[in-house]
Amino acid sequence: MNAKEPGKVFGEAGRPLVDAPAKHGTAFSITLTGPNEIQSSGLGRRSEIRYYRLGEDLDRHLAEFLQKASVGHSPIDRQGPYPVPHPKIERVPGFGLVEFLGHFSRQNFRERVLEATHADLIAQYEESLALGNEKRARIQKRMIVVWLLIATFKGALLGLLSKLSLKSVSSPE
Amino acid sequence: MNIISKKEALILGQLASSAGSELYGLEMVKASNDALKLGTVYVTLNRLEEKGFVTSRREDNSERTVPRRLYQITGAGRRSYLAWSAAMMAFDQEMKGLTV
Repeated sequence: MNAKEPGKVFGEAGRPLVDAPAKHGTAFSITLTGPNEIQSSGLGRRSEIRYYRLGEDLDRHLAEFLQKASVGHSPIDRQGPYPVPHPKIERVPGFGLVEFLGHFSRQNFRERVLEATHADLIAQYEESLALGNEKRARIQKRMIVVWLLIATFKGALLGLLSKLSLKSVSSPE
Repeated sequence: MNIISKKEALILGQLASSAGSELYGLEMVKASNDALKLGTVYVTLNRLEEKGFVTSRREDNSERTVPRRLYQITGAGRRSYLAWSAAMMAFDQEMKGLTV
Protein backbone atom coordinates (compact mmCIF):
# COMPACT_ATOMS: atom_id res chain seq x y z
CA MET A 1 0.00 0.00 0.00
CA ASN A 2 1.29 3.39 -0.88
CA ALA A 3 0.73 5.82 1.99
CA LYS A 4 1.34 8.87 -0.18
CA GLU A 5 -1.34 8.02 -2.72
CA PRO A 6 -4.05 10.67 -2.51
CA GLY A 7 -7.62 9.80 -1.90
CA LYS A 8 -6.91 6.44 -0.29
CA VAL A 9 -7.42 5.33 3.27
CA PHE A 10 -5.13 2.90 4.95
CA GLY A 11 -5.76 1.00 8.10
CA GLU A 12 -7.05 -2.20 9.57
CA ALA A 13 -10.58 -3.18 8.76
CA GLY A 14 -12.95 -2.61 11.67
CA ARG A 15 -10.59 -0.24 13.45
CA PRO A 16 -11.49 3.44 13.59
CA LEU A 17 -9.31 5.66 11.45
CA VAL A 18 -10.73 8.82 12.96
CA ASP A 19 -12.37 8.66 16.34
CA ALA A 20 -13.27 12.08 17.56
CA PRO A 21 -14.52 12.44 21.12
CA ALA A 22 -17.78 14.14 21.99
CA LYS A 23 -16.48 17.64 22.01
CA HIS A 24 -18.59 20.67 21.16
CA GLY A 25 -21.64 18.45 20.78
CA THR A 26 -20.41 16.11 18.05
CA ALA A 27 -18.85 12.69 18.29
CA PHE A 28 -18.12 10.57 15.30
CA SER A 29 -15.88 7.84 13.99
CA ILE A 30 -14.74 6.76 10.55
CA THR A 31 -14.01 3.08 10.17
CA LEU A 32 -12.59 1.13 7.25
CA THR A 33 -15.20 -1.52 6.47
CA GLY A 34 -14.03 -2.83 3.15
CA PRO A 35 -11.18 -2.55 0.68
CA ASN A 36 -12.73 0.49 -0.93
CA GLU A 37 -15.32 1.63 1.57
CA ILE A 38 -15.55 3.40 4.91
CA GLN A 39 -18.29 3.68 7.44
CA SER A 40 -18.93 6.97 9.17
CA SER A 41 -21.04 7.13 12.27
CA GLY A 42 -21.76 10.29 14.13
CA LEU A 43 -23.75 11.59 17.03
CA GLY A 44 -25.12 15.05 17.50
CA ARG A 45 -25.18 16.91 14.25
CA ARG A 46 -25.17 13.70 12.20
CA SER A 47 -26.81 10.73 13.84
CA GLU A 48 -27.09 8.45 10.84
CA ILE A 49 -24.47 6.01 9.60
CA ARG A 50 -23.31 6.71 6.08
CA TYR A 51 -21.11 4.84 3.71
CA TYR A 52 -18.71 6.62 1.41
CA ARG A 53 -16.71 5.56 -1.54
CA LEU A 54 -13.08 6.40 -1.12
CA GLY A 55 -11.61 9.29 -3.01
CA GLU A 56 -13.21 12.69 -3.35
CA ASP A 57 -16.24 11.75 -1.26
CA LEU A 58 -14.03 11.00 1.70
CA ASP A 59 -12.10 14.26 1.44
CA ARG A 60 -15.35 16.20 1.30
CA HIS A 61 -16.77 14.28 4.22
CA LEU A 62 -13.71 14.84 6.38
CA ALA A 63 -13.58 18.51 5.51
CA GLU A 64 -17.15 18.72 6.71
CA PHE A 65 -16.30 17.34 10.14
CA LEU A 66 -12.74 18.33 10.86
CA GLN A 67 -11.08 21.33 9.30
CA LYS A 68 -7.55 20.12 9.76
CA ALA A 69 -8.07 16.38 9.50
CA SER A 70 -6.25 14.23 7.04
CA VAL A 71 -6.36 10.49 6.66
CA GLY A 72 -3.46 8.16 6.15
CA HIS A 73 -0.12 8.53 7.80
CA SER A 74 -0.47 12.24 8.39
CA PRO A 75 -1.28 13.24 11.95
CA ILE A 76 -4.83 14.15 12.78
CA ASP A 77 -5.20 17.39 14.65
CA ARG A 78 -7.72 16.68 17.37
CA GLN A 79 -7.00 19.84 19.29
CA GLY A 80 -8.42 22.16 16.67
CA PRO A 81 -11.94 23.51 17.01
CA TYR A 82 -14.70 21.45 15.52
CA PRO A 83 -16.73 23.45 13.06
CA VAL A 84 -20.05 22.78 14.73
CA PRO A 85 -22.44 25.66 14.15
CA HIS A 86 -24.37 26.75 17.23
CA PRO A 87 -26.71 29.52 16.17
CA LYS A 88 -27.47 31.67 19.19
CA ILE A 89 -31.14 32.50 19.37
CA GLU A 90 -31.68 35.68 21.32
CA ARG A 91 -34.96 37.06 22.53
CA VAL A 92 -35.63 40.73 22.01
CA PRO A 93 -35.06 42.64 25.29
CA GLY A 94 -38.34 43.25 27.07
CA PHE A 95 -40.22 40.59 25.10
CA GLY A 96 -40.95 38.54 28.23
CA LEU A 97 -42.27 41.58 30.08
CA VAL A 98 -44.57 42.52 27.18
CA GLU A 99 -45.93 38.98 27.18
CA PHE A 100 -46.36 39.04 30.96
CA LEU A 101 -48.06 42.44 31.08
CA GLY A 102 -50.19 41.46 28.09
CA HIS A 103 -51.85 38.75 30.16
CA PHE A 104 -53.29 41.35 32.54
CA SER A 105 -54.33 43.97 29.99
CA ARG A 106 -56.88 44.25 27.23
CA GLN A 107 -55.91 43.24 23.70
CA ASN A 108 -56.39 46.82 22.54
CA PHE A 109 -53.96 48.12 25.17
CA ARG A 110 -51.43 45.37 24.47
CA GLU A 111 -51.39 46.02 20.71
CA ARG A 112 -51.58 49.82 20.72
CA VAL A 113 -49.57 50.70 23.80
CA LEU A 114 -47.35 47.87 25.02
CA GLU A 115 -46.26 46.49 21.64
CA ALA A 116 -45.96 49.94 20.07
CA THR A 117 -43.84 51.27 22.97
CA HIS A 118 -41.73 48.14 22.87
CA ALA A 119 -41.18 48.49 19.11
CA ASP A 120 -39.92 52.06 19.50
CA LEU A 121 -37.69 51.18 22.44
CA ILE A 122 -36.19 48.32 20.45
CA ALA A 123 -35.68 50.60 17.45
CA GLN A 124 -33.85 53.07 19.68
CA TYR A 125 -31.72 50.29 21.20
CA GLU A 126 -30.83 48.84 17.81
CA GLU A 127 -29.97 52.30 16.51
CA SER A 128 -27.45 52.73 19.33
CA LEU A 129 -25.99 49.29 18.65
CA ALA A 130 -25.67 50.08 14.94
CA LEU A 131 -23.82 53.29 15.79
CA GLY A 132 -21.48 51.30 18.05
CA ASN A 133 -22.53 53.18 21.17
CA GLU A 134 -22.63 50.18 23.49
CA LYS A 135 -22.82 52.18 26.71
CA ARG A 136 -25.94 53.99 25.53
CA ALA A 137 -27.40 50.71 24.22
CA ARG A 138 -26.88 49.06 27.61
CA ILE A 139 -28.72 51.92 29.36
CA GLN A 140 -31.53 51.77 26.80
CA LYS A 141 -31.81 48.01 27.26
CA ARG A 142 -32.39 48.51 30.99
CA MET A 143 -34.77 51.40 30.37
CA ILE A 144 -37.03 49.18 28.23
CA VAL A 145 -38.38 47.56 31.40
CA VAL A 146 -38.82 50.94 33.12
CA TRP A 147 -40.70 52.54 30.20
CA LEU A 148 -42.93 49.52 29.74
CA LEU A 149 -43.88 49.58 33.42
CA ILE A 150 -44.52 53.35 33.27
CA ALA A 151 -46.72 52.88 30.17
CA THR A 152 -48.72 50.14 31.91
CA PHE A 153 -49.08 52.16 35.10
CA LYS A 154 -50.20 55.30 33.26
CA GLY A 155 -52.59 53.30 31.08
CA ALA A 156 -54.14 51.67 34.14
CA LEU A 157 -54.41 54.99 35.96
CA LEU A 158 -56.05 56.75 33.02
CA GLY A 159 -58.42 53.82 32.54
CA LEU A 160 -59.45 54.04 36.16
CA LEU A 161 -59.89 57.83 36.02
CA SER A 162 -61.99 57.66 32.85
CA LYS A 163 -64.23 55.02 34.46
CA LEU A 164 -64.68 57.20 37.54
CA SER A 165 -65.47 60.29 35.46
CA LEU A 166 -67.99 58.32 33.38
CA LYS A 167 -69.69 57.18 36.58
CA SER A 168 -69.88 60.73 37.90
CA VAL A 169 -71.31 62.00 34.58
CA SER A 170 -73.94 59.26 34.41
CA SER A 171 -75.00 59.60 38.07
CA PRO A 172 -78.51 61.13 38.63
CA GLU A 173 -77.08 64.12 40.54
CA MET B 1 -67.76 66.99 23.53
CA ASN B 2 -64.21 65.76 23.72
CA ILE B 3 -61.78 67.91 25.65
CA ILE B 4 -58.19 67.92 24.41
CA SER B 5 -55.33 68.00 26.90
CA LYS B 6 -52.10 69.88 26.24
CA LYS B 7 -50.21 66.70 25.38
CA GLU B 8 -52.95 65.55 23.07
CA ALA B 9 -52.90 68.93 21.33
CA LEU B 10 -49.13 68.69 20.94
CA ILE B 11 -49.44 65.29 19.27
CA LEU B 12 -52.31 66.43 17.06
CA GLY B 13 -50.29 69.49 16.09
CA GLN B 14 -47.35 67.34 15.01
CA LEU B 15 -49.61 65.01 13.03
CA ALA B 16 -51.43 67.96 11.43
CA SER B 17 -48.16 69.55 10.35
CA SER B 18 -46.80 66.30 8.90
CA ALA B 19 -48.75 66.95 5.68
CA GLY B 20 -50.76 63.75 5.78
CA SER B 21 -47.80 61.44 6.30
CA GLU B 22 -47.75 58.86 9.06
CA LEU B 23 -45.64 59.31 12.18
CA TYR B 24 -44.59 56.89 14.90
CA GLY B 25 -44.21 57.61 18.61
CA LEU B 26 -40.43 57.92 18.75
CA GLU B 27 -40.50 60.52 15.96
CA MET B 28 -42.99 62.61 17.93
CA VAL B 29 -40.96 62.29 21.14
CA LYS B 30 -37.79 63.47 19.36
CA ALA B 31 -39.59 66.41 17.77
CA SER B 32 -41.26 67.50 21.02
CA ASN B 33 -38.09 68.58 22.87
CA ASP B 34 -38.81 66.42 25.93
CA ALA B 35 -42.43 67.55 26.18
CA LEU B 36 -43.45 63.98 25.36
CA LYS B 37 -41.99 60.82 26.91
CA LEU B 38 -41.58 57.50 25.20
CA GLY B 39 -43.31 55.65 28.01
CA THR B 40 -46.47 57.71 27.84
CA VAL B 41 -46.79 58.84 24.23
CA TYR B 42 -48.61 55.68 23.15
CA VAL B 43 -51.02 55.91 26.06
CA THR B 44 -51.97 59.40 24.83
CA LEU B 45 -52.13 58.20 21.22
CA ASN B 46 -54.37 55.32 22.26
CA ARG B 47 -56.72 57.77 23.95
CA LEU B 48 -56.76 59.96 20.83
CA GLU B 49 -57.56 56.91 18.73
CA GLU B 50 -60.45 56.00 21.02
CA LYS B 51 -61.76 59.55 20.56
CA GLY B 52 -61.50 59.13 16.78
CA PHE B 53 -58.88 61.84 16.26
CA VAL B 54 -56.16 59.56 14.89
CA THR B 55 -55.95 56.23 13.10
CA SER B 56 -53.14 53.74 13.38
CA ARG B 57 -51.77 50.71 11.62
CA ARG B 58 -48.91 48.33 12.15
CA GLU B 59 -45.86 48.91 9.94
CA ASP B 60 -45.44 46.35 7.13
CA ASN B 61 -41.68 46.21 7.30
CA SER B 62 -40.26 42.75 7.79
CA GLU B 63 -36.72 44.08 8.26
CA ARG B 64 -37.51 45.35 11.74
CA THR B 65 -37.28 43.12 14.79
CA VAL B 66 -40.58 44.45 16.13
CA PRO B 67 -42.93 46.31 13.74
CA ARG B 68 -43.75 49.87 14.77
CA ARG B 69 -47.15 51.51 14.88
CA LEU B 70 -47.81 54.41 12.53
CA TYR B 71 -50.33 57.17 13.22
CA GLN B 72 -52.26 59.54 11.00
CA ILE B 73 -54.62 62.38 11.90
CA THR B 74 -58.29 62.16 10.94
CA GLY B 75 -60.56 64.99 9.78
CA ALA B 76 -62.17 65.16 13.23
CA GLY B 77 -58.74 65.35 14.82
CA ARG B 78 -57.67 68.19 12.53
CA ARG B 79 -60.85 70.16 13.24
CA SER B 80 -60.51 69.64 17.00
CA TYR B 81 -56.90 70.74 16.91
CA LEU B 82 -57.73 73.89 14.93
CA ALA B 83 -60.56 74.69 17.35
CA TRP B 84 -58.27 74.09 20.33
CA SER B 85 -55.48 76.32 18.95
CA ALA B 86 -58.01 79.10 18.12
CA ALA B 87 -59.41 78.88 21.66
CA MET B 88 -55.91 79.00 23.15
CA MET B 89 -55.03 82.03 21.05
CA ALA B 90 -58.19 83.85 22.16
CA PHE B 91 -57.47 82.92 25.78
CA ASP B 92 -53.90 84.27 25.53
CA GLN B 93 -55.15 87.55 24.04
CA GLU B 94 -57.73 87.82 26.80
CA MET B 95 -55.07 87.25 29.43
CA LYS B 96 -52.82 89.88 27.82
CA GLY B 97 -55.74 92.32 27.87
CA LEU B 98 -56.26 91.71 31.58
CA THR B 99 -52.61 92.23 32.50
CA VAL B 100 -52.14 95.42 30.44
